[in-house]
Amino acid sequence: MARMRGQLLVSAVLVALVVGSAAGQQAATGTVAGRVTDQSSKQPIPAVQFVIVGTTRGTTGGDDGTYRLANVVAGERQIRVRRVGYQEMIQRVTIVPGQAATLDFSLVPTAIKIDEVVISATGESERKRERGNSTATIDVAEQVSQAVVNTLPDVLSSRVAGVVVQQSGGTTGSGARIRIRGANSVSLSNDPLIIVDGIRVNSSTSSSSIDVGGQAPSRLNDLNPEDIETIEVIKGPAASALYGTAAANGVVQITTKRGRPGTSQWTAHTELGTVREVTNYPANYSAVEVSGTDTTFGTPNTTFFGCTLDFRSRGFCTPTGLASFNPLKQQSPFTKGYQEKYGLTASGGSDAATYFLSGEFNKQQGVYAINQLRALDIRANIRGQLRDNLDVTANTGYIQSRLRLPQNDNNIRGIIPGGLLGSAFKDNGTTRFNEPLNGYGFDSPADIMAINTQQKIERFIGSLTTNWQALQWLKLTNTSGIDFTNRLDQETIPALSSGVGTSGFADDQEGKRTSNPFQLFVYTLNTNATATFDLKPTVRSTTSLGVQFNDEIVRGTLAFGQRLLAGSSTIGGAATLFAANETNTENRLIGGYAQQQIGWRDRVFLTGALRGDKNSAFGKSFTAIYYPAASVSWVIGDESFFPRQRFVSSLRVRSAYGESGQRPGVRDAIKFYNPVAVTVNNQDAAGFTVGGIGNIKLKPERTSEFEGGFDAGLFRDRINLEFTAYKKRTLDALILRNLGPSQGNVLSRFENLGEVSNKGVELLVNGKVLDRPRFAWDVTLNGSWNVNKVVNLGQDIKPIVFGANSDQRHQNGFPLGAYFVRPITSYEDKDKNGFLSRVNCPGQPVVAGGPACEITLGDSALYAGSPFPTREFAISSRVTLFKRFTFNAVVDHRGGQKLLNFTEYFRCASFANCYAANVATSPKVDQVAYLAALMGSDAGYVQDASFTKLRELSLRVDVPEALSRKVRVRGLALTVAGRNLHTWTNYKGLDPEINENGQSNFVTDEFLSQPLVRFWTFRLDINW
Amino acid sequence: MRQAISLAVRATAAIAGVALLLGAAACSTDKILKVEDPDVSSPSAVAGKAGLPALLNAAIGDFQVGFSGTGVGNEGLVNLSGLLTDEFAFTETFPTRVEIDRRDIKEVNATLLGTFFDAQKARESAARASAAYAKYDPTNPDRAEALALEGYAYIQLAEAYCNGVPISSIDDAGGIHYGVPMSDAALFHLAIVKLDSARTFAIAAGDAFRESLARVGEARALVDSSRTKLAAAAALVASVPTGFKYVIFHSKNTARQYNGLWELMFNEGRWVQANRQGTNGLPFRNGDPRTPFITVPGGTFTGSTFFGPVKGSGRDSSAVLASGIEARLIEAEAQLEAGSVINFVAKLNALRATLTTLAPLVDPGTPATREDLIFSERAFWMYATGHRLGDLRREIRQYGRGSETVFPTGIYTGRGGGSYGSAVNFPVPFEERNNVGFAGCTDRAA
Repeated sequence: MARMRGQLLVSAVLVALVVGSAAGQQAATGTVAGRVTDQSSKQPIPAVQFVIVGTTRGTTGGDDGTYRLANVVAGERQIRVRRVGYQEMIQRVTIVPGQAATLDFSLVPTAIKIDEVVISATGESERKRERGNSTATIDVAEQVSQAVVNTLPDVLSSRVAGVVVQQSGGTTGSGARIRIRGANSVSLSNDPLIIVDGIRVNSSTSSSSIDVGGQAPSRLNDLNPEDIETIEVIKGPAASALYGTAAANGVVQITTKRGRPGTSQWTAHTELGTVREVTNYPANYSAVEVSGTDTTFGTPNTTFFGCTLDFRSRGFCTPTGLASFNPLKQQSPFTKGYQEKYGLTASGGSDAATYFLSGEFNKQQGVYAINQLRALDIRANIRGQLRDNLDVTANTGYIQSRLRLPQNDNNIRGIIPGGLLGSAFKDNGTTRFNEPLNGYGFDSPADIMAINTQQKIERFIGSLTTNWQALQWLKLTNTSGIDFTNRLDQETIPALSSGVGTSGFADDQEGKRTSNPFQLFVYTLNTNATATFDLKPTVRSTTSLGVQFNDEIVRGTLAFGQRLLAGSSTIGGAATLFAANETNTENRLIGGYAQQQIGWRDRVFLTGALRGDKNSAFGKSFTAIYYPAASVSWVIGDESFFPRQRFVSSLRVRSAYGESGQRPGVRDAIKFYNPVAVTVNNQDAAGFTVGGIGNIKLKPERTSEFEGGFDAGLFRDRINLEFTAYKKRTLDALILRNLGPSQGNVLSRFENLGEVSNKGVELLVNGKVLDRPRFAWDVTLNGSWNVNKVVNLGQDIKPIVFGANSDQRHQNGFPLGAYFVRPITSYEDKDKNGFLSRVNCPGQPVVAGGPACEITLGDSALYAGSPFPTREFAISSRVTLFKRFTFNAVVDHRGGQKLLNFTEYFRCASFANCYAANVATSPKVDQVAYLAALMGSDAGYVQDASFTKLRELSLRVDVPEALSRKVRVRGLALTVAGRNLHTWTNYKGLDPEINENGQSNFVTDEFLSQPLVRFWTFRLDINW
Repeated sequence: MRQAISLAVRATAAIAGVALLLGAAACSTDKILKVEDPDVSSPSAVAGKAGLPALLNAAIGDFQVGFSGTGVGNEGLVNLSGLLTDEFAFTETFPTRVEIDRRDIKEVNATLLGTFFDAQKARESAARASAAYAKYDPTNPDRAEALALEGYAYIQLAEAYCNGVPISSIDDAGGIHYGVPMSDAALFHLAIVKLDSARTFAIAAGDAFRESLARVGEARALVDSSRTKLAAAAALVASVPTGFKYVIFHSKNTARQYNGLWELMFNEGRWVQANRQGTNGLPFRNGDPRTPFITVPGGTFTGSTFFGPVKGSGRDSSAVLASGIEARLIEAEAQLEAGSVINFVAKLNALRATLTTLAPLVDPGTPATREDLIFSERAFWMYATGHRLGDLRREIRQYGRGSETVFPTGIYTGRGGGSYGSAVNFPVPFEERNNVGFAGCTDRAA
């Protein structure tokens, strides 16, 4: 195993050696320098990319628009300049040995993006015009300083059409569910592939071995947005075929920041902010019938009977009072959270070498005093131009984080569960460890918060990329790297004997300690050769060949001990029930690809590609899989026949087809036994239990996608319009097929059976509505619609039922994970007593003299909606005044989705402490939801979760340069930003975005989770 | 010239570099893709005679999970059947379990799925072990235990589930062979066949302990089959000592080995020892020394007073699968069936005499009350051992009682309220419909 990996690494080194030895000798050289300005405003353009055509040599211009390229081989050279927001430009210059040539550029601003440079799957740069598919690019560096953006999901949220980021809760450190163009897979992950600086990284969205109820940390949160220059979102197989097995759900390609030649540039930023709980939690209610000596409700009483509407209608009681108490408000467990960031960067260098160094310390406390995150992030990216035709880039990042999580969601030890499932009385006589619970249901918040659940991360992501322009027409690129995560999941539940709070659940008060160290490795080795020829003056051929190797390894140890010595918090302090286990998995992939592109007059681009993969998780009888891809892009606006007109000033049409796949899990193809301990004759002995029955035919599932669309520049390219329609089909879908349990081996196994489809359209409109010297207004609208459907689960496979109360299904003809419930067909207050009743309904309590059945339900469960949005729009608007004040707002809408309000279901149907269960004048629609739940239907709680949010709002003030210089800095900016500021929704629960199951593939319901919290931050950016 | 040489060198170097990598990748992708998997064991590792002890251990372990439950995973049949009958009362919130306590069980029910699967897994694991003994070491006395466990697994399925339980299997190549729905009577017959074989092998090996295990099991299946077989059942268990006890052991070693009663009741307070549940329930908290319990105020999941059976009060409390007491109770019932009331009462009193605090019984006087008595005695002696559901069904099926005269009935006072439903057994879970030969229970009759 290690030997094989070693062989590949040796090969990589050999390539590097060959590269080094083969590099040509230096010829006579000169220098070229100049300045780049905006053709309209005549202002200098910062951070322009310069490349000497036909070499890997290049540089990035300074903030003042100047650049300098030394040691350029003498002769006639072409210099290409690119910058987002401007049209590309190439100019010729003659380099004379020992002399400096001047070459200035004047770039034409444009809103259209077809000449933006993106990174292809081969590792090469290419312009969007060469691609037949839609690729979104996020300028992260610009975003982070103008919004509250703490995590990678925050960056992706609301910024790219077709990308839906669902926050699962407001817990600091928890993850989010990311879907690009809908869910493809019934049983495998639907998370996109994440690539950082050319290498695959651990992108597990639920990465913990300790359960705190539902929310889980995500490894995506380790990636600091402050380090990221750009993110490219490759949305589906039409574009991701060359990424191979794993890219079916799209690819998020991250490029970290790089240095620019020139004097050292220093920047510093600090951010201080608040994290606020803003949810309007409902109170607990109890209608009571009292009689006797108790004076709670005035009249002396002796008995005290909870008198719900249901009991009342069945004649058990008549309420004499209504108690209500709101533990989460009146005995609030929340605190005002905060966040702090302190960052410093240095970058600079020369033509020969550039560097980017950064460090950031980030501290955040959520709305619970214990929910804390502390992170340290250090990055060093270095690029060396070893020869005119050879450069090497080393990108390294180290992340250290310490996260402490609260207990919530589906968790009897949770804080919100305790409050919302608690009592309608502050003093309900319930105690834990002789302390009153003050209205909480199970444990006091103090006891719950004594549980110390932590995750400690040490992570290194490092990659080395070598570009060698071996010949004028041949370029070799090699990228290799490692993502190593040392993860330590730990939990201490203090012993009651230690005199501090502890959970009252089960035997928790004995004290427990869990300590699970994990080591997670992802290795990548990519090698690519690209040959470019001008077959004719107007026809350019680009051929790429490459191989890729990936190795993903998980090594974990799980250790547990119980009955802790007072004050101790290690397994060494435990007295009993020691348990230890290991988890070891490895998956390897090797793939090769070939791609041929023909460019005609730099206007028409035809591309064909094929990738083949082998994977260690494929079944024995399956050898390799091949993914074809083809695309066409025609910049029709560059054609002479294209009518030059004001409205449509440029146009490109494009179309692409591609396939990609997802591998099965590491053990899905094999038959295996899990070792277990068993008790034989009162002795512990070694035994096993069937773990999997395998499937020798197992192969990856294959997703094909066709997309077509156009990019148009409107009103002289001031407005950019991008439209894309796509159609995806997942064939051989790996279905975790439920088996008839009567075979007694396993409940399910993976089989390539199903078919899933996604269809949709995406729209991006951006541009300058107004562009005056003192007033500029930019607007961006992105939106998408998606129709997701299970076409076929496979022959003879019954619907796969899952989720809370078994209310979700994968069923032919419906969206994945669709809600199915028995519908409420009618309800009526027939006896006109002011409230509804279920008595005398079929199968319900019979009450002589009671009303006729007032609620009717359908006989069987019917489709009730999709848990995923079918449409999403985000509109961001930026107004700049006097080039100093920038207002930015992002409004986010998602619609078409339903959400099971399991919180209210539980409060009403199980704990009978909701308003509708106790108050006769409560809305009938809420009463029928409650009573239907008692009758066996959750229909009233599957609720429309469409929403519109004011997601981001900010004001940035760029301090005038003259003023900045007085404090001896070049630039100074202040930003005030808010996040999650307002929600418009008809959803009746706590928050339409949250999910008790964290980042679960499909299981979706709102159940006692921490809702999203509100951020306000103040940020100071300094550069000098 | 020099430029041309440089070009050639570069081209050669470039091609060599790519070729090296492609060569490394292509020479042996199988080698590169080969990964170690130390966490699991392959079936070949336990094949052959040397693997037989591991197979028997696996059968015992899987039987424990399916029978008396575990600290992780699903409820055992002892747990769930007690909840459906009058043995346990529900004090928590899980909707899938309240359906069971309320006797209103839907086919789509995740709790039900897990328990049914574990019961079938216990059967399949025992069958795998007994088949391996037959193949590699047919005279090994352990074969009798594997066969007996297989027989008991059939009994559990037949006593707890509706008519129409399929028995399926998977071959070594992964092929699934689904069975057709079988009546409970057919399952009892299969149990008898397996236990009869177990008895034969135990006798041949001179293993009296396993012989008793097989005898009690076979007699239990006969009793379940028909009242007419009570005499044969009594004859079968006559040689079983009253002190005989085959227990399913639990351990504190790993959570999988914990006793399910302890986990669900004592550890989590999810349900309690019931007392006169639903009108017809027996008074299991009346101080009878056979059903001692522990009281913990506020000790349930929802904060009400907890009542837990002493026999499940430890993680490692063992659970009785078969005993000499059951043998004597079968004999007593056979005496009643034979019309020998004196011997019937005498048999019961002989058992009661083993506990000093139990007063002798007197003949209650009528056939109906005598039937009540035998079932009451069985309920107390074998409380929380997975017998009660089979007995309540026998009362309906064999003694002509109405289901609402033996099962908890009337107003349901647990979570969500409502009324008791009409279930007298568990349905086969919905997921079994992936078996093309299965379209639901044949019937839900007792």
